[in-house]
Amino acid sequence: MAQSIETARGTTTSPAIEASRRLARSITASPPFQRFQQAHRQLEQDPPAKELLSEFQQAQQIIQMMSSWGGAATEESQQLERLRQQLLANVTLKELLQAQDDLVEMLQEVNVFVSEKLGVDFATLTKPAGGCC
Amino acid sequence: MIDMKTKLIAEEFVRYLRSSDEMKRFQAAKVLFENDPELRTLKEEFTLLAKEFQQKQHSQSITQGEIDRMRSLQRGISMHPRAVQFAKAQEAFMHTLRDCNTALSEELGFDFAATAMAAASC
Repeated sequence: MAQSIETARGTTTSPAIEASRRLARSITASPPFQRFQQAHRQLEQDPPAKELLSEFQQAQQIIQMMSSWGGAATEESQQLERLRQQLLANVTLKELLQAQDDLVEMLQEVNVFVSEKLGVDFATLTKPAGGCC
Repeated sequence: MIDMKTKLIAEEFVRYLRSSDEMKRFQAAKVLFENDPELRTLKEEFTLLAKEFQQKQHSQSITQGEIDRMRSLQRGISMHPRAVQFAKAQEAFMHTLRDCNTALSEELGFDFAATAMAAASC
């Protein structure tokens, strides 16, 4: 890596890496990130909401697996829809989903901003296989 | 909506990346790859032949000679010094971008690129 410097952590890094960290710290200080963290903390204090979210995610996984095998059954799809409705009616989870949507939107804006100035799509070129927040 | 402070820091991040050796080498190699006359001819011939292949696919009238020519063109393009240079520069640049994404993601607590790419929320 060009123009390498030593950081306090003792690892070799470049100005671009340091700038990446500054950018991340600015994002973590932003209202959408703070709201998302608060919504997450709220979820931790709400066991029924956590259970509902876990149930919904499991149902989602089952549908995805069934789809890859050649189509999900109606019963499973209906169950997922029922859980989705319950999830949207839950205050804690509704807030979490809205906070997450806002945060993702902001991260997408940051990516577009950076990519336009770079002339290449930053997220596309660096995206690992799979993964989300 | 990105706040002004984040925008300024993002601009600084882009400036550092643009001034990195990896990005400079990538951009220079890209220009050479795109403008090399010999490579241009090979790419044009390859595109033309690929179109012919598509048209002939239904009638199954592709000859062995045409297949050989296609393979030879593919090799000619991928092994051309300018293409090799471009591929190497691109890989090095992508490595730098991945390092930046790792640094961003470590601070955020989740993968920035994967999240910023996501079409819908999890």
